[in-house]
Amino acid sequence: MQIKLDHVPSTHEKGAYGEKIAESYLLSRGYEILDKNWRCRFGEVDIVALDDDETVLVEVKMRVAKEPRRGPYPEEAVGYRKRERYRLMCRRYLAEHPDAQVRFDVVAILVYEGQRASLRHLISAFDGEEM
Amino acid sequence: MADSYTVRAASIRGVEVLPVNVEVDLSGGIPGMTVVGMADTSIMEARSRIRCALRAAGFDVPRQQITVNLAPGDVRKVGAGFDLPIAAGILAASHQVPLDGFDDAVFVGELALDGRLTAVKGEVAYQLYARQHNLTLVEAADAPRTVLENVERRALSSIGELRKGLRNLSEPNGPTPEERHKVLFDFSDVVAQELAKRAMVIAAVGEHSLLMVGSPGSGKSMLAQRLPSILPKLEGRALEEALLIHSVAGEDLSDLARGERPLRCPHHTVSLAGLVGGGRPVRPGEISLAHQGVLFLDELAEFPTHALQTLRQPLEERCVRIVRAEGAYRFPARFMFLAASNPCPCGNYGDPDRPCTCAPARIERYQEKLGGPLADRIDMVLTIARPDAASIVKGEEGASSSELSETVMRAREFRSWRERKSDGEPRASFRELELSHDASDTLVALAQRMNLTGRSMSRLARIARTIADISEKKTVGAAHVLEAVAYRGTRR
Repeated sequence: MQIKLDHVPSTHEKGAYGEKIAESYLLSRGYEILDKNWRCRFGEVDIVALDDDETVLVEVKMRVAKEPRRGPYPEEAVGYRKRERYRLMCRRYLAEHPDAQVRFDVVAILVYEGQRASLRHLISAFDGEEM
Repeated sequence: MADSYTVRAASIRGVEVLPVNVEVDLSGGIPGMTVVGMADTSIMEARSRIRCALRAAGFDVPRQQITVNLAPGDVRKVGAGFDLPIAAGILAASHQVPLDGFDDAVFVGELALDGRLTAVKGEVAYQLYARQHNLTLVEAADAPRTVLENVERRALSSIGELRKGLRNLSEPNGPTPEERHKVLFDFSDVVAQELAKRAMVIAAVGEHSLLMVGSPGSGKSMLAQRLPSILPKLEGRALEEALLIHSVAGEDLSDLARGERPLRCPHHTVSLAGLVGGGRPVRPGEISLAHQGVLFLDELAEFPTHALQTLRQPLEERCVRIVRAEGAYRFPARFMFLAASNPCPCGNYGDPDRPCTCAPARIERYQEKLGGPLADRIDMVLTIARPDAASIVKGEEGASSSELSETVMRAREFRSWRERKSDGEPRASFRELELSHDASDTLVALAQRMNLTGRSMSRLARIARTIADISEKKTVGAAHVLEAVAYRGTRR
């Protein structure tokens, strides 16, 4: 897929690009996209996908970088507060879909120079309890 | 779709084992692990260790809500020994391991992140518990070998071995009690102190407490170090009790396993909790570690008074009770009490050759400390003189440990034979001691002349009885009483 960034993108645009990349990746992996930008009073789940019988709540994180680098990685931005927010949102989701078996994934995308991107899919990146 | 399983585990409270049921329940919802049931921090941290260990061993961590309950729920549980039972419960509830024998097993062990298992403190306590309840103890492969018999044990070097089924696991073969090269203390090293050795024998036979008073360098500590060498070997129940206390406190077991009686010599800076037991979690103190052995307090007068006062109750009751808000702990403390002290701060008071440089008031204060209520419970006081130079150089060897211990064994045997014959409560009254007419007359005369209290008289009579046991006499003679008087020391 060709993604072009010919101008300095806004935060919103970046988010939209990232979600687009993540969505096409998940589709290519055989996931079924159930919902995008699922909203509730606690916030927004970027992508809700189905992997076999598991419902996956996906948080997409994208960063633009000048050159390939070793960090900081985009997934580091999914901090404690973000995880807690996902747990709350998950409860709302389960209230609407009581039979769902859920899991939290993070898709981290690093885009260099508007040309290439690296993508990392963290399966079950965190769970219901902070350790 | 809920799956659950209950696994047996155990927690240690004081020196007792508290049976704990680990209930694991898997249910839908947000994946995660919750532990309930008054678990302390080390158990809460188990969640991360278990997660990593299960993954490393190739198991699946169920992507479900895992609820772990430690029952009974009203008792605080401590220790990393719950890693294995929780992990085993998760594997059992998620049908990842064969369940043969799980019902009759108790699990104890700490997990490393790579799935390996390590032993935890209190091995002997768990073994005794398993034996008492006919359970198989499933534990780390590096759990120390002990001398306890008839304990069914299964070793896991890694959590992955649970796949084999409990029945196919071998016995643990951790380190055998180490055959350490140890300096053997023998009474033959102590030169020109035959009188003191005699007193040691009497103390060892009758389990009398003994205070040695003498100037520095007269050999008090040497004598003390050698006392365990003439005591009978530890065996049977006494050995198990001593092993249990040492194991719970995380102390080395190898000397005990060889039957050596413990000798504990706490320094006079010891804290109260260190001496009688305490801390959080409550741990046995030095006096309990000296159970079935010897407690030696060197420089008795330097110990803080309150520390010495706390010894009075355990000396009489042979156990110590520590009361906390959450309940009372009872530790056995049946030890032989041995103490040493200088006669005065500079140490030369009473020495014919060296002048004492202490002010009279200081000597007074120093001796008052020795004469307090604790000293009233010390049976024998022995003045130890500096041996003269010539005999040290010549190295005149007196009685050796093996000779002395033979005397002790014989006397103890005679004593128990005599006590069996009279089959009453031993030491209950003067009559039990079987004093001859001569002996009672001597005792009465001494009591009048020296203004002895009832307590001192009975103490004197008991020491005389022990001396008579050493010479294997059924009745106590006047000579035995007169020898006993010699061990009253100079106290008022």
